[in-house]
Amino acid sequence: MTEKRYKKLKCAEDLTRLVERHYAKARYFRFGQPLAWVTSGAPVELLRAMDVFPVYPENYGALCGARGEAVALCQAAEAQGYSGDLCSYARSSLGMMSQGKKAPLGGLPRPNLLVCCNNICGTVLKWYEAASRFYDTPLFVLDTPFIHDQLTEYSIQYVAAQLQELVRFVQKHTGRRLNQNKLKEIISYSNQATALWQEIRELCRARPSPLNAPDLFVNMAPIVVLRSTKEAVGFYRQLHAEVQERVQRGIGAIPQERYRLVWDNIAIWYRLYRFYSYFVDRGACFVADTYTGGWAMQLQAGEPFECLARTYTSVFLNQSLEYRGQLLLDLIQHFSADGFVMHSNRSCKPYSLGQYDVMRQVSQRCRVPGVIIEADMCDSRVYSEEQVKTRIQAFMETLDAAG
Amino acid sequence: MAHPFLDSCRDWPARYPNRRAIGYLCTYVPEEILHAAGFVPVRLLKANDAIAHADAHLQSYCCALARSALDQALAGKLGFLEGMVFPHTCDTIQCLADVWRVNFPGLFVTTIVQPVAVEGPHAQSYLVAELRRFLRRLEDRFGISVTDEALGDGIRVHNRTRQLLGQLSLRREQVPATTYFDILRASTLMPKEEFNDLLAEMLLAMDSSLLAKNESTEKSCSSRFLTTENAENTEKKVKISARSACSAVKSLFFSGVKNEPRGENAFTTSKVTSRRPRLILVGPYLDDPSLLKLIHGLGGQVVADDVCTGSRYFETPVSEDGDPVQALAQRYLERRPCPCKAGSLPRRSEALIGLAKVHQAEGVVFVLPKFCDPHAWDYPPLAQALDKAGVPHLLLETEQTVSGEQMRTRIQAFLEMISYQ
Amino acid sequence: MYFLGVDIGSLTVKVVLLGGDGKILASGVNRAGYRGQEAAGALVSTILADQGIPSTEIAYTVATGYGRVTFVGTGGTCAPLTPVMASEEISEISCQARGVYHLFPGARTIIDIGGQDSKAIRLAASGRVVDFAMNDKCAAGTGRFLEVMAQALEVDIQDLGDLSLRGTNKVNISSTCTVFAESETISHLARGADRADIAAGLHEAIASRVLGMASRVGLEPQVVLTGGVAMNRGVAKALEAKCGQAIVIPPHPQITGALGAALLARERWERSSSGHWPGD
Repeated sequence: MTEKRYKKLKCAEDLTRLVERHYAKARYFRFGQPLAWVTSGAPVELLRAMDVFPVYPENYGALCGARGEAVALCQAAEAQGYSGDLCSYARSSLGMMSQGKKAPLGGLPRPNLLVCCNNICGTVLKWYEAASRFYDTPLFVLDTPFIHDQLTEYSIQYVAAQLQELVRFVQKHTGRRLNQNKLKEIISYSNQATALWQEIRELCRARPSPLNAPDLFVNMAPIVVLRSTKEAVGFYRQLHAEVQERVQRGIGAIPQERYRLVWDNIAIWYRLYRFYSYFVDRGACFVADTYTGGWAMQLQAGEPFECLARTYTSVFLNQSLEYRGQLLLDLIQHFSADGFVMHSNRSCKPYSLGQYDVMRQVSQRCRVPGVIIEADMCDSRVYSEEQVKTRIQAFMETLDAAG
Repeated sequence: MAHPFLDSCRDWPARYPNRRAIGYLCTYVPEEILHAAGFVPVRLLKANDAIAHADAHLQSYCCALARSALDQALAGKLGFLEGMVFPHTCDTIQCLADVWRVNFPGLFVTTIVQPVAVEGPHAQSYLVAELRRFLRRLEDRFGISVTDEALGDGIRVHNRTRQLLGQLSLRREQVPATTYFDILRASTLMPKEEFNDLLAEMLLAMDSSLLAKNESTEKSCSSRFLTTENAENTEKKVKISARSACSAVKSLFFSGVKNEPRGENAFTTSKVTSRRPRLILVGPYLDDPSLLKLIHGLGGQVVADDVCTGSRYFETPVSEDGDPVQALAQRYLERRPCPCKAGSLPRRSEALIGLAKVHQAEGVVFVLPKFCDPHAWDYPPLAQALDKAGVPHLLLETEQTVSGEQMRTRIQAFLEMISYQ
Repeated sequence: MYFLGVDIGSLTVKVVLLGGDGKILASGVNRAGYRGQEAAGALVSTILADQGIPSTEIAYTVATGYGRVTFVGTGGTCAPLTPVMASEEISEISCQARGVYHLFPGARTIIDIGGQDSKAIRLAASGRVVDFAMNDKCAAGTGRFLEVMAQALEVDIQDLGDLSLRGTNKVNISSTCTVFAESETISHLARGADRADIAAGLHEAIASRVLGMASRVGLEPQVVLTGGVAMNRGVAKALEAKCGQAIVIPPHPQITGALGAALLARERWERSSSGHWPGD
């Protein structure tokens, strides 16, 4: 029933195949290519240019969440003494490690290397150190200083110097060398894919919007997992064509678009369709969000290490609350939104703490209502369906009154 | 008479009407720089009041320290602070810095983004640049100029604090647990020179009292002050009279003793103390002496700690040679790390097992505030390391208040468990 | 000469009376009401009157449970003037361990689910406590959770376990929080789910919560389940299903803490048989 309210994209199956192929390749068809676990904000271009195959435990967490299998993994981590208040991606990952091949999707393949970049949070540091102990695998920590006001030149130099270290680290542990030509090619794929993803998101300015939040969340997978590959570029070309067609033919993602909303924070994976269907029922479509656009960062031309340093240090989650508030405000205005919904995500403190202040400031400055929904991205045990439904209903009534 | 060692922010403005203060939460703030700029660094800890204002800004899954600190500020209790400095440590403090700036637009709210990969080869030069930027901000905002001499002076004063606190920690078993806590708390609230003088005299008085057990404290320490030729004492200009120091010591010890349930004299002989199970406290910080009272009241004694309101605060002096900013950067990279830093766990784990051996500890008590992610992450591997070393341990999860029957039951059961071994 | 163990819990008070030879002479359970200490005193008096034992014959009393602290009247400085004043208070962890080990020397893990909290205790072969864990402040995984749910289902708490065993199509209760689980229960009811199926789901929820805590101390067999909730057959069954091993329940699972307290009282007395009181 909920599926009906969700208009499936034609290329959905291609996406499934693409992601499945990625995991199959990681497990069976690497032909000796070293495998690295990396965080979503790691400078993967450098690794790919050194012929290292990256997999993303965060993506694995999201998959388990969407399949309703994350709670069991979280419980396995809690049984080892890890607090139930820690990030549910990380707990899923720890649970998966202890379950080995019995874990959902057969678990992630054992890493040869771990590369952790703290531009998304401090949790990844502790999580990757735990993985490093568990697998007895070398870990590289790329330290990207948080930007409270402006990106300083010495921060860029600090990060660029560490990227040089990273190259030496990979070389030492895999014997692979950095291929400068390949790096250029890979950066170009990255830029093509992110440009396409950015354009696809832009198409949602249309009324009705061709995509809704579940589309954005499902289709962001390649921009993270396969960022900087030819396959990602191919997929986003296809998606772009389909979305453009929807716009040209006036097809909306939801049956009757009455309200346009902006989403903040990571998805509630275990309720991806059901949650948004409460909005669809009331004619509300999410036309943009702060999260899936966060990965559409272009790498500038110039000395590659400095560009990578600049780009990866400036990731939106590595910037101040004011910056992220402004980002939300810009999205609301740019996409002509009528309101916004913030997911207060217990798992993600750096993304969520401060949302109350952002909400006040944004609704004051652009005079549209916002609401905060308390939940968690993977741990359904802290989710209260009834409370959430009541909140959504009350929020939609405010929108009705305003409209 | 006011308590000689200041124990809360509340009394700060009345006691120091002519001093300027800047607040901070975490010991990665280089207090030396604030001192050199003419400010008294004042550390905020969780207050025991119920949260009234912060709930509108921070979710329930934010730690009590952040919520309480913001609450104190929003309630107008921190009006004497001319600024707040936030170093980069955990995700929560990172957000809190921004929330603070948003809510107090006129206030000097600044950050020092300390490196996370403290052992990296480029961390030092980065931190030096970041500290210099912090200095410039202070200078620009307050229209002052901070010289290298002033920085050197700040370093010396703080090294002296570290040294004195180190001496105090050696006498820990002779000091009531809450008194030890109060003195450490005072060291993060009072102007350092005043604190140093007070503590130096107290240490002297303590030693002389121990020598003359049966004499009254006042008498024995007066005579000690009048006759001593102690080099350390004479080299330093004593600012307060021997008499007031003695009354300070007296009031501290005897009021401290009175507050201790099943109170024992401050100068308990080692024979008695050795019967109490010896414990090490581990956690981010200790903000509530009632926990110490509970432990002591149930028959335990705390002999060492790994908390940043304890040993982690005063370990590792700053080099007094060379460029002061370089020396500061080095110290803050080399100190015993907090779990927010890369590679910290093996060092913490080794240090903890070492502490347990040196202090012949019979148990380790983890005091972990709920929602403190970095410490929650380190708990399972530290517990595992202790299991391997055969040291029993207990986890106490605290929230806004440390109290309640559950806390008592856990501590009592743990003490029973290790006593019967 | 007699010994008393008094366990003052949040919902009930339990008393065990031992003879000089260590044999259990009598035991009793009563509602704690809002003044557990008084309820315990009354229960002690009733038991002593039934047995025809004057209170002066009580050599040593150990109090345990939530109300233990205020029950210690004389603090062990002299022989108790009345039996309701305990000579000593000992935590329920040590008392549970002692009581269960007495009944089942093969016990290595104790899961105790009381009204207000639950705990897991690991024992050495000698009966010594090696490790223990307790639930956090939240009521999930305690008797209180089941009490709230019984109210929501409009079932008597005693009947909840049997009701759950009749469930054929277990409803999944995903929230751990008691308040959330209650609203989940109510919405399942509103959707017409069978009460027995909901009860089965609730029992599974409490079992998974309790096992989450218990696995921190390990689940080495033999596992013994105690506390008032152990009388609920549904919980025991859900626990067995989830942890895949048999769980032993003492015939009177509520009084093991009081029994341990009484046994410890006797040991304390014997240790100081020279006549002066421990703690002098």
